[in-house]
Amino acid sequence: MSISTNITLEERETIRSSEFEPKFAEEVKKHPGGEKLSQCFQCGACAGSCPVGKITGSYNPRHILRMVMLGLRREVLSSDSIWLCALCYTCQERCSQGVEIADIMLALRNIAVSEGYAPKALVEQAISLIENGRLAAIVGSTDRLRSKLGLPKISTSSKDIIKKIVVTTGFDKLIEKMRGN
Amino acid sequence: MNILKKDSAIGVFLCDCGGKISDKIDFSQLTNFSSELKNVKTIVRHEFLCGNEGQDIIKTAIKDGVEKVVIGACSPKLYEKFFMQLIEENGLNPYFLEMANLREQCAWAHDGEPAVNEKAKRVISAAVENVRKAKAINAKEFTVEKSVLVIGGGVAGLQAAIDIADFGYKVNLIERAPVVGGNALKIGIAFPTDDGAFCISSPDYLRGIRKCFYRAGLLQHPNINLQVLSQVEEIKGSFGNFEVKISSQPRGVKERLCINCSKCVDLCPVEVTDAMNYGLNPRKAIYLPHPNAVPPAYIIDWKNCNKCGKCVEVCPTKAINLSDEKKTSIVRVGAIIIATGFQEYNPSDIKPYKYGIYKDVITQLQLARILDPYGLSKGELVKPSDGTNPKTIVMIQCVGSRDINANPYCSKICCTIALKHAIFIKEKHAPDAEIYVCYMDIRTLGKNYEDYFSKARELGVKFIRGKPSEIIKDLRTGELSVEVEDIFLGKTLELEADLIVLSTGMIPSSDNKELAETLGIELGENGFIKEVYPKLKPIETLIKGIYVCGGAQGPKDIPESIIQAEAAAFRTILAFSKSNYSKDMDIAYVEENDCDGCKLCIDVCPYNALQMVDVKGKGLRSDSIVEVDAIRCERCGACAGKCPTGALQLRHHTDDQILAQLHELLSRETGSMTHKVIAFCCNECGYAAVDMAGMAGMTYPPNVFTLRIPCLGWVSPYYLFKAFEQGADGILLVGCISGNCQQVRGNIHAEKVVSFAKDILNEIGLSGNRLKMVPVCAANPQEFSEVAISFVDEVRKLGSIKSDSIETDLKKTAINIREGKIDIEIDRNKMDSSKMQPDPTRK
Repeated sequence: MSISTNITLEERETIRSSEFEPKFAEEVKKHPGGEKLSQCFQCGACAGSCPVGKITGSYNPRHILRMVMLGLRREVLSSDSIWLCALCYTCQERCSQGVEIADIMLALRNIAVSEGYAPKALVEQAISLIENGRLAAIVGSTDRLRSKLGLPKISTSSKDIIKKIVVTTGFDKLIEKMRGN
Repeated sequence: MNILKKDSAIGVFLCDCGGKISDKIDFSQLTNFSSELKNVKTIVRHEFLCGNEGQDIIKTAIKDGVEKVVIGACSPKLYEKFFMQLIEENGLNPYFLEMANLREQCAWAHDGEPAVNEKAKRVISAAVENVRKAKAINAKEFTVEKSVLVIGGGVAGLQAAIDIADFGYKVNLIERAPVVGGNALKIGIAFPTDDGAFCISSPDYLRGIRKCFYRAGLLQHPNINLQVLSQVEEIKGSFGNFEVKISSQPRGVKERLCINCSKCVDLCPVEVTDAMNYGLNPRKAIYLPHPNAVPPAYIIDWKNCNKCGKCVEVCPTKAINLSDEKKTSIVRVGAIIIATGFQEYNPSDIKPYKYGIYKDVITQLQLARILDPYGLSKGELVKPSDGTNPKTIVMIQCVGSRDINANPYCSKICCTIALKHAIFIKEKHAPDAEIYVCYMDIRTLGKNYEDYFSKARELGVKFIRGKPSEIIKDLRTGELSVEVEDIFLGKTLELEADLIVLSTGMIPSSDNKELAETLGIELGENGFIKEVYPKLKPIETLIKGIYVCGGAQGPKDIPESIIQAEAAAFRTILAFSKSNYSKDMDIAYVEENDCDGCKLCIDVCPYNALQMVDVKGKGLRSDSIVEVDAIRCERCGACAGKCPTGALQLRHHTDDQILAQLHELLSRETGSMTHKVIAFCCNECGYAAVDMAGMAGMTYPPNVFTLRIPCLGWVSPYYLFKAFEQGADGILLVGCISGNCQQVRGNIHAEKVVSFAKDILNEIGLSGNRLKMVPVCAANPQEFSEVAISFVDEVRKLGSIKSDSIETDLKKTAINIREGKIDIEIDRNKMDSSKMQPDPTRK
């Protein structure tokens, strides 16, 4: 049996209340579904119910609500965890205080994107959607495989419609901003 | 209507209040002014009218022929009652007194404002006119039947019954179940004393501090008449004279003859599950509900009895009667105490916890039955599914409590119940068992209850902060586990459990709703009986003579139930303390020929004091008219406010008196004051807040005149339009804060009236902004003065109402309201908005 001679210490950070952005909770409450945010008393029923949370420690809805209520704005919006919610709504169904947790995750994502925060992979997908009308681009091998299996070519007819939606909603501009990030 | 034979001589008495009033108001001007008022025969000014010398002056004046009295002094809230008694002692009717508030609402409220002198004049002349129109009001005596009905024989009902019976009044104690005790019979051991829940204070004639139910002498007490299996079916009358119809279900066994020999039980061939033990163990179709049963008699389970008659044959005392029938009886009582208790919330609706699906998921009350030696397993801790001893127990707190989808409130006893059970299990039943308590907050609300929490931790009970998300069953092994996020750890745990206990809250007794309807009282939003006022009148209902105590009023533990029961007993005894009940008849009355039988008033009366009576053939306008119960009426005037024809009036606040006062305060013909605002102030928080503003030196403009009224609910839109017509340029309605009306819902009615009147004002070309409600509390008098200041500003901007055509419209509106041509519940969308014009452009 050998004993390690080096004890590694995890760095611990103290958050000063001056770093809070206390208006953040109010901002989230203005979004549809955010109205009852302040009713959360951290019972953990959401986190215990969460199927994503069962697989990964990186997503804990209770934790996110806590950070929102304290006003850790930048930390929440820049984190990947708000993008991990699978929107199954189990938490929302079980919340005894009527907090619309899944809807709050959606609201947080909207705020995040409007400020230029989003995981790189999602931005890539969005770009593909704008450019190809599809989340994943069609490559030559796909069509070859399909014709081998006797399947028709993938239609690209929805491309123009999607383009129209993307432009009308301003989605393209939103993504454009993040492209450089 | 009485017609005054002649106008009475009025004496006006002005008080300097040691200079507090006379330094601010020119008394010589005021004296001259008063002497010219109609019927004023005497004017006296004195330094301190409330002193002995001042009182003597009033006495002498009465001897010398003064018949009605106006006192210009401090707030009537301070000395009105005192002066009423004084004039009554000297031979005048007490309602021939009016106080003009020259101190709090004149001298102190408008310090340094020259207009205070004009306000004082108007206040005096309004008081003189009011008293001139005042009619004598006398007290009426009512006989009081000094016996009580206690509904519900649980801990609270028993305590109240014993107290009242010991004091010497007869008590009819009725209980729905076949035995007294209620939930206490199921609990077994109770906190905070860790001894039997089924005991109660000893009645006086027995010695000792406490007695278990069977030896508490309930059946022997000379003043207690206990009827089990009984419920209230109908009630008539009011305080002092309630007539109650009681229906009693058949027992099938004569209580006095049964000697508990159990011969009938042994022979009975029918076996069913016992509801008392939640179906956890079997019993016969004839059974004793509990070993501690009072009355100690068997009962037939009619649903399951096959009437084989074996029990009848074997009974040595011939106590059994299989053709027993439902009986009804009538009792007359002076007061009623509701003690219908609570029941445990059934958590089947909380789907993730699978209660009712998995046998080993039980409630705390079921656990109590298991731990109770009188229960299924004779006190051995077993799993309901297979009778084995559980090794791991998980308790879940707040099941259906603090949950907006079930019971939003905290039942405040469930935490201590769970702690108590965890301790018992650790100490007595299974010291090696692992116990986990999943909680959101541990609330040990009671004297020394925190000791249970500390003791449980000491014994190794593990507390996990987190609300479990789900109870899962492993389909292969059949094992249960509780899934919960341990919030402190930030990790999800799966607690494998042999037995899962749900701590559910208390909900109102299932028949509360029906009982409330029968008694004519109200339920609160969670279904418990509504008290008059949670802070100060927690045990009184809206109907005089009906009290509530224990779990029926809201979740509480045994000590608190006992305190409430004793309070209810005291209230009853207090209400019975005089030989008769005497009440001043300044209540609502009906001008019989004006009532058109519309019944609008019936629903607005919070005291259930109004009912329709048949008057066919009497030659009145309607065949059925409303009648006022003189005892129930609490003088709020909500009925008068609602009455579309003015048939319902409140004595001492009649149209006659109010219109006379409005005229004196507002009339444009007299005085130089402009932009007058009338503030209808409710006699409770509203008037007090205005007084307090004066006392605290929070000034407001002198053109704000108060009119003391019983409650904002009394304000008919008729008075609003009359006030505008008489010369008001703005109206404030000052009353209790929303939800805290001292007359229950007066301010809610007023809100409707205000929005209705605003629409009409807009329609006839006046701004709706001339009308405003001001919710106040004497703790926040600045709210009144601030609103008064800004409102007067706004009214000044809107300008005076001077146009004749508008006055005609106002007059017409008032007449239409009184003739019932305008419905307050009018559909506001249908109003013709094209007619709306900005104010005050109309000329």
